[in-house]
Formats: sequence, structure tokens, C-alpha cells
Amino acid sequence: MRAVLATLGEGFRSVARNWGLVVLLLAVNLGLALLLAVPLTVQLERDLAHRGASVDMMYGFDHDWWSRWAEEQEGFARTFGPDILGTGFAFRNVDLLLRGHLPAGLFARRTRADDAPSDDPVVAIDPAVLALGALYLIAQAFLAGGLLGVFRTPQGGWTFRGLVHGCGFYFARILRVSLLALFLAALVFALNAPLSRWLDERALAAVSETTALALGFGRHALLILVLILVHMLSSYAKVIVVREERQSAALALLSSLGFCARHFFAALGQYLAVIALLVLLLKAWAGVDARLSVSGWTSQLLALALLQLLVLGRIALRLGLLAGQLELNRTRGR
Amino acid sequence: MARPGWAYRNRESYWLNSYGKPALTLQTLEGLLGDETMTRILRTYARRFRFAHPTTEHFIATVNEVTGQDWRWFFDETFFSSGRCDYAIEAQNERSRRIEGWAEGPDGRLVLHPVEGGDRDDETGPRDSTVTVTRRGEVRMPVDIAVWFADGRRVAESWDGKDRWRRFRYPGAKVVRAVVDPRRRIALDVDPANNVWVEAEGAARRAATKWAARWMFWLQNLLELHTLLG
Repeated sequence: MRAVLATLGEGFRSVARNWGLVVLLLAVNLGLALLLAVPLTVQLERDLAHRGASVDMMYGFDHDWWSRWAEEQEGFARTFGPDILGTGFAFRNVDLLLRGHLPAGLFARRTRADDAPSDDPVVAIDPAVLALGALYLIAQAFLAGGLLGVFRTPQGGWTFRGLVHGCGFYFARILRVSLLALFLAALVFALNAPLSRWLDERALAAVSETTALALGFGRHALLILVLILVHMLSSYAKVIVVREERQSAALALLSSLGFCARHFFAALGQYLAVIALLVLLLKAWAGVDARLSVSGWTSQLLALALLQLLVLGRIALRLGLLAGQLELNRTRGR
Repeated sequence: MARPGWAYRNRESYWLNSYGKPALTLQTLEGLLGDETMTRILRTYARRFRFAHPTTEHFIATVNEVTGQDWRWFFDETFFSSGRCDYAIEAQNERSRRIEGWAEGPDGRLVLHPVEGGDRDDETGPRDSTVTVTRRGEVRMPVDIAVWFADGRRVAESWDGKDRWRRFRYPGAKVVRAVVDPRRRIALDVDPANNVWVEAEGAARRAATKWAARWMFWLQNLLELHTLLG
């Protein structure tokens, strides 16, 4: 426990010393999201112009208008719906992850229901959104080497040139680690499919509702846990690539497996602590968001700042975890 | 809609035409006839045909008998038609046209009308307005129209809905809001969102940025979730 807190604390201190990196990652995230958000704004403005629904949508959500509008949409605009309100966005995203739609729809199970065109925006996630996600993943693989290079220096401080140099220097190796991690994730989803079917059959046959719910939630929780373990392996492999200047991604992954096995509880504890912090952050955000009535430009600016603060916090937590992992590997690694 | 259950194309078509559309049709009929008359129709129908096997024709005959009018047209448009019902409204405010310069007066002599300076698109000047109601579907229903003006006046219009469109002109008045079927009597209207026109454009811009920002936030978090898999 002490190791978890100490390494994570050092990780967050390292992020605080290099806070500009968090802003930079937010800019990357925001820049990519704007590629689709701007066309959506233009389309919504055009479709709402002179409609009575525009006033209703300004003060709340006009479900009648939206349901009719959504029926006519093609492409990424179909993913706009009331289920992203409040903390709904998080549940929708986790749902997409568990169905295997991330990244680029690689691990989605091809069932008969999925083959048919679906009205469910979650099932019918648009290729443009998936492609943007895949692009983001590549961008993060590019940035990871530079970020670890910055966190490796104890005194802190970074320059854009130095960061880009680190990114380019480690990119090929870290990309190979990421591809191996994706292969592991594919294995996880492939094994998860028959297990899910079997557990779902047990849940359907269960006499008690509690048993059915436990089986349903249990299989999802298990999948999330295994995905976290895959991420842990991949993340420590990246740390080892940068710290020990390894050339081979496969050997770095094996070393990471050994390290994670030796320090399993400390490594997992870091994840649990960061997830707990993320839940707290989300809860605090949801509390403020629910009290903010957005209609005019001032309240919109406030809401936008609040939304971006949550994304910023989320990125800071991710970087804190990465720096914490580097610290744990430095103090416990051979 | 008036066909045996087994004669529908598929299950969705059966469900829509046996449950959804009949309910909306009866609700529309109630909207046109009023609550009291509709209650009398249903009471008469239920009492007369209890423990029997009435058909669609029996119901239509009951409606005609209770109302004392021929409502066959309504059932032709709904029960015996697969047409869509959709009314929409648009409005336009234009700067009032005025005579400027030398022109003939009422007695035929030339009179100099003052030329007003300034921007011709000045928002504060008098306006002439037109409100256009369009029937976008095949179903014809009589509709009410309510129009609100900038000076606070409200005008109620009606239209038999038989043509494809009907235009109402209001010289010297600026329309701020226009609604077709303001009392929502036509429950069969498939797109109630185009039944209301508002003058304000700012609302659309603000609503668009508000919801696009929220959608972008979802997307940002989705992008961030991708890092769990890399």
C-alpha cells in the first residue's frame, strides 16, 4: 500500500512539474474531437434554424425533435443522443469498450443482430468515430516515448523539441508494444465470446434475478479486469523500453510480465487508486454539472470549461499513472 | 390498416398498423370532433356491438350517425390509406414595400413621396410577412394555424388542408412565431417538429453549440478510453 501511494505520489508530482504536457495532450484530444464536432455544430444549427425545437433545445432537450432528426441522419451525427447527458457518456463508452468496438471496431462480435442495420447508435457506431479513435491511439503511441523520456529526468522540465525527439526516437518500438498489446486484447475478446455466451445462458436459466444480475455484471467486471491487466503489461513494457533502452518489444513485454508478476499487488494497486480517483473526479464533476443550467453564452462557456476540466483531469490521472509506473519500475526493477 | 392480421407484409407492419396507427387515428378523430362527441361515439359503438363482431364499416356508420355528418373522408385518409400525414409551416418577414419619389396620387396627379435614407435592410422598419403552411404528406386534414406578431397580436387561421400549400399574408406586421395545429389535434402528424416556426435565429445557434459541445465531450472521453487498449 505504501509503495502504491509513494510511487503514485511521485508520479503526480512529476506530472505537476511538467503540467504543460497535460495541456498539450488536451490540445491533441480537443483538436481531433473538433474535426467532427465543428461539422456537427453547423449541421445542428442548420437543422434547428427557425424551428420551435431550437428554443426547447436551448433550455433543455426536445426528445420529439431529436428522435425525428436522428432517424434522418447518416454517419457520425447518428451518435448524438440524450444518452450522453450527465454521466451517461461514461456508461456509453464503457459499453462500447465491452462490446469490442474499440479500437476501430476490431473486436466487435459479428452476430446476426450486428449484421443488420441497427437504430441503436451504440451498435451502429460510425466508422468516422472509430477511425478517429484509431488515429488517437497511434498519436498516443507516438507521444508515449517522449512523455516517458520527460518523466525519466528527475529534475523535470521539458522542451517541445526534446519531447518530439523522444517521441520519434521510441515511436517504432512503442508502436510494436502497442500492436502486441492489441493482439493480446484480441485474444481476450476471442476467449470472452464463448465465456459470455455460456454465462448468458446460465443467467437466462437462473431462477433468481440476483444470480442473473451477478452473472451479467460479473462477466463484464472480469473482462474489464483482464483488459486492465493487458494494459498493465503494455504500459510497463513501454516503461522498460524507455528506461532500459530495449530494442525488442516482445522481450520488453516478457520483462514486463515478469515485473508485474513479482510486484502484482503494487502494480494493480496503482490502477485501483487511479480508478478510485477517476470515479471521485467524475462524481464531483457530475455534481457541478447537474447544477449548471446551460442556455446563454456565459453559461455555455462555463459548461465548456467544466467539460474540458474533466478531460484535463482524466489526462492528468493517466499521466500520473504512467509516471507512477515509471517510478515503481525504477525503485523495484532490477 | 383495414386488412386481416395475416395479410401484413411482416411483423413490424402488423404491429404498426394494428396498434400504433389506429391509436393515433382515433386520437386525431377525437381532436377533430372533441372529447364529448368522441365519448358518445365510443359509448354508442360499445353498447350496440357488445358480444358481437363489428367491422370497420360498423364503426364508421356509428361515427356518421352520432355526429350527423359524413366522416367517410376521414377514414379514407387514414384507415384505408397508407399515406403519411405531415404539415409544416414557414414564415418570412420582408421590409414593407413603399412608394418613394414622384408617383401618381389617388387623384391621378403626381405627388412626391419622401425617400427614406439609411439601410434598406434596417431591422426597425415596418415589415410585411407571409406564412406558408405546407402539406408534405398525402393525408389531408383540416388544420388550425396560430400566428403571433411582434406587436403582441395573435391571429388564428384555418385551412382545409386539401391543397399542397396555403399562404397567408400580413402587410405591415412582423411574425415572430407561427404554429400549425397549435392544439396538437392531428396526432397522426409524423413530424411535429416542423409545426412551429420561430423568428429568433440566435436560439438555433446557441442550442447547436450547446449540444455539439456536449457531444464533443463524449467523443473526447471516448478517444481517451482508447488508451486502455494500446
